[in-house]
Amino acid sequence: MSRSKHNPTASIDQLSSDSNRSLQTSVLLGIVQSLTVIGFAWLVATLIDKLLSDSLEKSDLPILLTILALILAVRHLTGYLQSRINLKRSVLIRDRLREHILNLSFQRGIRLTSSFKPAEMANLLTSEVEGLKDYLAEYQVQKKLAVITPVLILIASLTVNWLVPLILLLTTPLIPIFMILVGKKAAEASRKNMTEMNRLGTLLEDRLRNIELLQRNRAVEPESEQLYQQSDRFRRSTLGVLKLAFLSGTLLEFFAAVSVALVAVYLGLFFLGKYSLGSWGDTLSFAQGAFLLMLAPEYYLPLRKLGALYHAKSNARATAEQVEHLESLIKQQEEHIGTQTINDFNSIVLKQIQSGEPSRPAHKAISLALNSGDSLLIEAPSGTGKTTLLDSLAGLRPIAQGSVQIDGESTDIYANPNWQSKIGYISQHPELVYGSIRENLCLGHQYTDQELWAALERAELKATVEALPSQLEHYITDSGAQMSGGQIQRLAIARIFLHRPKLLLLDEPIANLDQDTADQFMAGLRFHTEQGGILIMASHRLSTHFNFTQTIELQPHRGGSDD
Amino acid sequence: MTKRYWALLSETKGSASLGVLLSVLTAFSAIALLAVSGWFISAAAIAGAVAATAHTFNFFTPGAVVRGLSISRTVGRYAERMVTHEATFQLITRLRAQLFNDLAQQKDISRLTNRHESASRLMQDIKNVEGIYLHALIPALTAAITAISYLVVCWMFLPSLAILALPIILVSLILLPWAYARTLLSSEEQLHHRQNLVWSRASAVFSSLRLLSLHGRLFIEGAKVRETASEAAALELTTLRLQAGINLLGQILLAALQVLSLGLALSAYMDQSLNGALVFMLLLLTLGSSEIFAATAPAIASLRLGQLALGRLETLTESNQSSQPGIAITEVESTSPAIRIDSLGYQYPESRYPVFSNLNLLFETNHWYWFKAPSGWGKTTLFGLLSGELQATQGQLAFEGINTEDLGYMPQKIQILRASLRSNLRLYRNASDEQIWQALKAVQLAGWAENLPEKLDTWLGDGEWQPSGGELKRIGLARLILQNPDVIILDEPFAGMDSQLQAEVLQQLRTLWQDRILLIASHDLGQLDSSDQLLDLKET
Repeated sequence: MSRSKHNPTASIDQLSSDSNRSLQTSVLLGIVQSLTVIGFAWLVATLIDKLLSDSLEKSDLPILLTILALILAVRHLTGYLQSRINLKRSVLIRDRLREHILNLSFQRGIRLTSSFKPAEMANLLTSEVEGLKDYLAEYQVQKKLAVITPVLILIASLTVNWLVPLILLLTTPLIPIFMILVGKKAAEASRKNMTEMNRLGTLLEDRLRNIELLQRNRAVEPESEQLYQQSDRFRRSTLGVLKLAFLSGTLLEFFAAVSVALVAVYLGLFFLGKYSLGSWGDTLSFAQGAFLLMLAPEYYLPLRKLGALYHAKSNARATAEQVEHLESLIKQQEEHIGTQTINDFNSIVLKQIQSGEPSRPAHKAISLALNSGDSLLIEAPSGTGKTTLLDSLAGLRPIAQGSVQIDGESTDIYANPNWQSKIGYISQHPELVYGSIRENLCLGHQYTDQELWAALERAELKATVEALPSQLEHYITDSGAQMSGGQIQRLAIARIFLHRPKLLLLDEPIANLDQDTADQFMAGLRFHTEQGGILIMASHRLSTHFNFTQTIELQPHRGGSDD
Repeated sequence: MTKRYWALLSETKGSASLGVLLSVLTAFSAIALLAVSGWFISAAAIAGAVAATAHTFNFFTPGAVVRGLSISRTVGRYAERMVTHEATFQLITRLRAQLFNDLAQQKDISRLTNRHESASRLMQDIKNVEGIYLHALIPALTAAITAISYLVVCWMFLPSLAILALPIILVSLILLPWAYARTLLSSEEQLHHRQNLVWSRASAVFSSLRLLSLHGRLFIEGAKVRETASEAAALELTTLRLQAGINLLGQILLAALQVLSLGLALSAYMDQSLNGALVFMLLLLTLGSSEIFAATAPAIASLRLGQLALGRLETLTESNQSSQPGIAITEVESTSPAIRIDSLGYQYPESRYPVFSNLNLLFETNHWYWFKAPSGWGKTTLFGLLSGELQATQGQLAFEGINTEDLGYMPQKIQILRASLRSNLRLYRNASDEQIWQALKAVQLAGWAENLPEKLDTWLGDGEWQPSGGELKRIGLARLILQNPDVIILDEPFAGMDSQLQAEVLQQLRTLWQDRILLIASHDLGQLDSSDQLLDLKET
């Protein structure tokens, strides 16, 4: 772990290290392919030699052609097998990576939302993980072959001559040197390209979200022009990256050509009898010369292939960065997950509670006691962390300071399933599950249709659901298409009626409702407290239809933070 | 392939055809390089073997040709890549802007729900469109031209090879790509569908973290995401394996061509009908051409992927055309401006009941109309009909003496562009900074704007400065002041403001807009004037 240089794709390489065997098999198949290349060169060289010395008989032809066909067949079959193995490996590791990302993000829970938006997480799980396809299927294998194959070819040429391998070996360092020079520039260009791409993505996303505004103000056309401009900037920066990538490809090709030319000149002079340096004996047969000449370009080919996979590497780096960011979020703190059993309780006491990150709590400490039938209104200017407090009380994030007592007993409520099963929480933007209305109401519990309809009726959603073509089985996809904000809110309320939690946490529940509905909603809450439930609600807006037994005002915490 | 694509391609005709030319040139140089060096080496060796002719053999001309070809191959490849990428990126850039424009101009836009997907299609799907020219047209055209030239050269030196090569080339250039396309057609579409599903499910899980954690459903829903992803991956694997199989077939065919060319050339040499150097040349010619031919099947894959992507992109601009015929707003000439609503009704296409029906209302100029309607009555739908964003399914809606364009609508949810405050207020209208400040003063936002870090240049929106609820509403009102329309519709304009602020803003608006037709929906009806009309919609 004391390596000074950080491997940018470490998190992905680590995951794929479990599949090392398939990687090894794939590399092995690659080696077999290189051997067929060497065999092919040897065969063709021998053939020419025989041709020139007039020692080729017509009867030799079938055997020679059969060997040639066999060599080619082995090469293509191993290629096929290799690609099968690589594809499977790539699919497998991507699947594992998705699991890893999901596990990491679920450990982080609701606190994830401060670092990643839902769409970003969905992108990470889909297009970014998909983007690793070539890295896992090809790059990782090619990286090894780019070392092994040239060595094999060096050894093969070394059997007939020592000067040619020396020429090849000596020209090799030039390639990485130029690659590093180009690579530095390329990294810079590709960062710029990333920025332009993100800008374009954000612009598109933002303007599509606000089309209504653009239409109402007849601003679609000027916006399209703006979009074209940004898209054009992105095009230019992409070309900037490609220019360098192609340049490095061209450089590689150039070096390969120069080295091959060097080998050819040497061989030509040797044959013309100018000198006999480099050969193991005094002579070099034409077959040997042709063999060396045919192998020379193959020496550089694996490196060129690796160079062509530049995009795979940069994709992998970007994805690995995101995964590492996730990992670092998890490592930040140790957490005490509550496991205590909680029976039906009658009182909750908060002692010097602060929520948020321990290093920078969101608000000043609060202390209070709530008994069955009590209701608490939290008044807080925006930004003072009322949502954070409600999240903490729901056990969705650790409490920064203080303790919670349930029926007089100090209890760890964070991530405690026994606590969470007794809570109902309607957040500011009520949430939906990808599934039918029924699944959204039940959430893993069993209820009869009658109970479901009764709950919908009490939440004033019955008529709406009845009007849907498939009613309770109506599928809600893509963050509640076809449902208005008020309707989604009522669905959340219907869920509360079904689950009957002891403690109800409400975050600005009536912010998006009109007065009548808000009043009805607040009147409905009386039922909850009358039945012995406890209510905690954060709201700006007040209703005359509910009298809270307690009110507190959250004070922003200023001391601890350094900004 | 869509008309739009061809139209855009023909706009970049110059560089697009230059790209094809360069690609063919590069391919020819690469093949010729192999063939000429093969011939050269063997010819030189033959010359060397027959010592008497060694001094008369011209090493220099072929040597120069080889060097020339090698340079033209390397430079040609670089130029080809630059030119083809430039051409296709220009096409993509135009396509993106066009599609966005068409998408954003659609009617009934509020029903466009899959906006994130649309955005990602305009970023991601469009990448596949690049492949049509770059990875399909270019390699296919190059392969076709190479194939013809190859056959011609073979015919010149060894006609029997040309005759036998023809069927092999036809199979690998036409039949295999066709098979390739067939296998891709269905599975690619399925795969894309699955991958979209993964995205939707994942984003649903991550936007419902609270709900799912509380009900202990997080890992269950997460497992569903992974399962869907694994299904998609399995499908992907099957498709890719099939492709690899077809690739293998193609490679074997081409290997057969290579063995065949060597066999035929060698027999011809032994029959004294072909000289030794040409044997090697023909073999290398076949090897070089095979590489170009092998690119055809994957090229067809790129073509299919590109076509599918284009198809999906085109549906973005079509999907929203509501199937139900609507009734357009009629404009009537009149000296006293008014809006007349006659037995108006609206029913959403997927709903079994109308939102409302037989609605009769008359709005006249110089009047303010306050709406009192229970949630779910259809107020937003009515405003949508009035603003022309929806079309009625029943009845009539007439603007008398008013241009339908002369209407300003402030919806309940104020949308903010990720742009400066100034751009957010002007929205491409001509408005001086002075006018903007006046509008801000009228809605009591001048002080707020003065305190912003960069005043009017402060960026608002996602990830930037986020105005509070009451500030948002007042930004919406300031926009309308700058727009200055004859008909103004306000949906809950005062939410998030305290009553004092509300009264101050309202007073300003009354002086500005007293002579307009103004419709307000508000849950707070304490600010009604004696001249205002209250519409209690529960009773209609």
